[in-house]
Amino acid sequence: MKLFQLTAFGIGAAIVARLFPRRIRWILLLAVSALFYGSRSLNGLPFILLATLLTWVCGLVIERIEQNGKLTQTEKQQMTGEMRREHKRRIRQKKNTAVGITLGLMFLMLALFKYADQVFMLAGQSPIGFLLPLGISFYTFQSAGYLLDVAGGKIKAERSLPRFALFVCYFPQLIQGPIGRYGHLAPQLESPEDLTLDRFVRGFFLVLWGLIKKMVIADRTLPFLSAVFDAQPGTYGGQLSLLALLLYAVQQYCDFSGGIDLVIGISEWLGISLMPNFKRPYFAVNLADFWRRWHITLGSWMRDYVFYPFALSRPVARLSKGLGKYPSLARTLPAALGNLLVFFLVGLWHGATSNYILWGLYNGLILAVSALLEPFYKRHPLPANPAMHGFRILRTFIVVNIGWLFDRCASGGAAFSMLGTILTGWRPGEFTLDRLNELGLPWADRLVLICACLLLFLISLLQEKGIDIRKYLMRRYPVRVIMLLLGICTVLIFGIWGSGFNEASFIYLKF
Amino acid sequence: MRKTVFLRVAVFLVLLVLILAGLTRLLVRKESMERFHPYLETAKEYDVLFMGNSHVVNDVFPFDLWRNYGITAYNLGGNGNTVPVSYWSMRLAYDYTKPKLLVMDINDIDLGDKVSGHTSNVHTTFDVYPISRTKIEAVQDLMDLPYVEDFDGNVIRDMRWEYLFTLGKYHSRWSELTAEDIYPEYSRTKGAHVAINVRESIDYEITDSLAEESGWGFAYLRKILSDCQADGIEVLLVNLPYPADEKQQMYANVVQSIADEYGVHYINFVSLDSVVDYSVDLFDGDSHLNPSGARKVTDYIGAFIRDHYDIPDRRTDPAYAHWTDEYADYLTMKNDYLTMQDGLHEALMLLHDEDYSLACLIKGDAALYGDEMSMTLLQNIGREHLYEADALNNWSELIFPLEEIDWAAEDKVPYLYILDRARPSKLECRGESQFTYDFEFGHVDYMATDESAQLSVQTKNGGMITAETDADDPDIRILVFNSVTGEYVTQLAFDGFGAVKQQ
Repeated sequence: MKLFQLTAFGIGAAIVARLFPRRIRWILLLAVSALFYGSRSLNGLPFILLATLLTWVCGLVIERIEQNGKLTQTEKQQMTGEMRREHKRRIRQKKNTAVGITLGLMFLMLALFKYADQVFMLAGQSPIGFLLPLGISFYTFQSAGYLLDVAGGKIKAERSLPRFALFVCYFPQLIQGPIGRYGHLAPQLESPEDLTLDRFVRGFFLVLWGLIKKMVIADRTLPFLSAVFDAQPGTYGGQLSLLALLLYAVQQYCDFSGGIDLVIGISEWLGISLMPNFKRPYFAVNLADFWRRWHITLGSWMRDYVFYPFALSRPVARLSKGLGKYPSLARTLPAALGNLLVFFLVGLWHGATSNYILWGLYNGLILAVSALLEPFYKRHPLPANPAMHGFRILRTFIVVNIGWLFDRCASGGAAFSMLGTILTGWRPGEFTLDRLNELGLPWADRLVLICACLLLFLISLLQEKGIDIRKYLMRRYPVRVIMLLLGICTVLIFGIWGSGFNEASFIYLKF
Repeated sequence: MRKTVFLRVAVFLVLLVLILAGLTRLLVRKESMERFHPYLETAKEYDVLFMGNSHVVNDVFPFDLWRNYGITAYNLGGNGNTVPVSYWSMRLAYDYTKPKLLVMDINDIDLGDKVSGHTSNVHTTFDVYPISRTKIEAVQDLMDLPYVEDFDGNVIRDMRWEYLFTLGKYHSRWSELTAEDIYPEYSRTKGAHVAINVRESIDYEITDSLAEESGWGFAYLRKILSDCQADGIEVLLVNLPYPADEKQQMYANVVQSIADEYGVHYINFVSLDSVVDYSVDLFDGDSHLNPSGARKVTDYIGAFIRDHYDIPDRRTDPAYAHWTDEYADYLTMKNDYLTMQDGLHEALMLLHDEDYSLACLIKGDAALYGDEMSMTLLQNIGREHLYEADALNNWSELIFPLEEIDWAAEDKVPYLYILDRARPSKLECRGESQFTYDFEFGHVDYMATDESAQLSVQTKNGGMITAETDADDPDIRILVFNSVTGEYVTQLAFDGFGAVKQQ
């Protein structure tokens, strides 16, 4: 029902927004976003306001520092090269100080909400039970990106506080991203596209597909996944553990990408095109490829604001230089270390528990080793044929799934235990239909899951081949109507909603 | 261009609404529709409506009122209905007709919340009614508190919308659809439920103490009385019989003062304590009546309505001729229930029915002779219904007391019991005996020694039915006939008490 409410809210907002002239539509979007945020997370309102204010002021301060530090032609002529470098260094230092303080405060706020309880528990104290403000991770990352772009001179600071507030709190992306960039989002927010029937229907297809992924597939797996993953290690044998792992891969993808499809569709109704966050990740041929297809906006954020600044930093450059005797290593080491750092941080962002840290390090380590082995693979490329392509996809899928174990299990120990069970603990006769029924996967759910996953695979395959399915569906009115009706009925009948069902929150809402 | 867009959107929306309506109709649980759709279809026919909870559902048979008094009634009780739910059920029902009399059971008047129990029960009461202003008001009023939960722990207020858009509740039923979802089996009992079982009563004591009037139940009872008075509808309050505990009785006793205040009748069957016999008339031992008990209560209420209200006898009204056909169908249903019984107790209990005459032959060494419940149930078959003044008498006052059966049990000899309700008359034989006699249902030949007996009945349509008590035969054979037409209905045979039926 919550997803229907969100969808209905989106439709209502789009219709009302259409009634406003385009040049002032952003005001309505801001009002609607504030209303959405206030109604969903009243306790989080002060924090999003604080983050908005801090970032906005800091952006202006940076620009002021920049402008004040600009040298006139005469000053330039009067200064020596050394003096000019010193001047630039001082300006940079000032900007870095402003950025550092602001980001420090914002990430401290984020860390407080995310880790305070764990710190208290580690110290043997009872947790405080902070309620995570809605979207705090996403608006923190988005605001930080804005600030770093302003500091880097890529964009100009926003002078209007309301306009900047809209960039931070634009409601569709507050739920679980995607993490927008100011340069991409601000011009659209300034002047959103008009809502047309075609635009609405096109967005509706995406919304329905998102709802199907989330409500029909992801939420359907929940009882079974809870039964297996939340049980004591060793309760279930290898077959059931493997099935649970595979279903978790499906659930994780459908939950997250379904939610993203939903918000991108809603945003299309509002005339704003959000950045894509998924690109058929399970078709990836290696782990690096996977992370270019999964949570794309977080990956690119990490790449631009963590990976490159780190890999190109002076200490790393010095370290690389020190390995002059080993040119391949010197070339690849910065990337390897960068990946380790990025995935350690990504793991930490998911949670300060052993399983998340191990999950981050597992991914980082594989990527680091892959980076170090890159010269070798360049010299000995794998044959490029369909069989090898399929093998690489399968290999990547297995690698990713091992990682998911750490993501889903409650602790690193439980993940290792389950991995051991999957590899060596197969129990004859455990995998029966009766057992699946008992574990919350009755025949009806199995049937729906199988059909829906086949549909998901088919659509992903077509998209992978570059076919724009929505464009095809939009061609003829009868096709549009039939597919929309089919989509609506599929969601309503096969979706998990209403009383007696566990209509789960988005997994990434908690991050 | 704008016209085309409008037209396209309109076509889509119309299709969507039609499809959703069709899906809702298909997927909705049919219990509500099956019980109450016949009422919606023929609402104008009913002079009397029954409201209340499961006590009403199980304890009142409208067709018995029709059979004996020509009263046209519908049982709109709902399992788990609180008095507030009954109030809104009444309001919804009144949107279809204004009856002459409302019979309202006050059981559970002391419940604290407006809605309690399983929400599926509330759905059964409301689902059949399409969205209307009254239904929206009902849902808003009944489910207004944020902390009230159902038995499954769901906050009732959060589920309000599911009463208006039932697809939310039933969308997942696609995996359990049956032919019944396409062709619902509408109630053949005018809303009543035939609850077949026989259980011994829990202990109870009658009290005349009073509780303090408090809670939603009393407030809504007053609303029922006020609304009915405003609409010119008479009200009969009842507290249907069950072995109530002291607290329940204390609250029920308070209702008398409210009835007096509004000038309406109130029959407190619990304190009367004599209309039903809890040793044979209870379905579950502590709350609901089985059909034997329901027939006694229904008959009492029918006689009371006849004597105290101006409700017409419709049996000779040509506009109600179809009720005779419906009653015949009801009778077929009762016959089916009787035929399918696997337990002796349940079969004997169902035979307490004015529609049945019977010839019952019991072997000399039958195990049921040693079973107190079976012996009481045999006595119960021909028991007369009590009414008002008689109600104070004890149950020893039977119109057809069985005088020979205890002797037969003691001597371990065959026993024959014939009950011909058409005359009405009773015949008992034990041990060695022989006779030939014409009953309304046919010509009976009987010959018995102290060891065995042979019974044959030549039915009115020329058929011959025989029953024997040889060593290989079951303990008891019962030939059942329609008491009005004399038609042969079925032969029941049981080996041992509570045994599996042998045909």
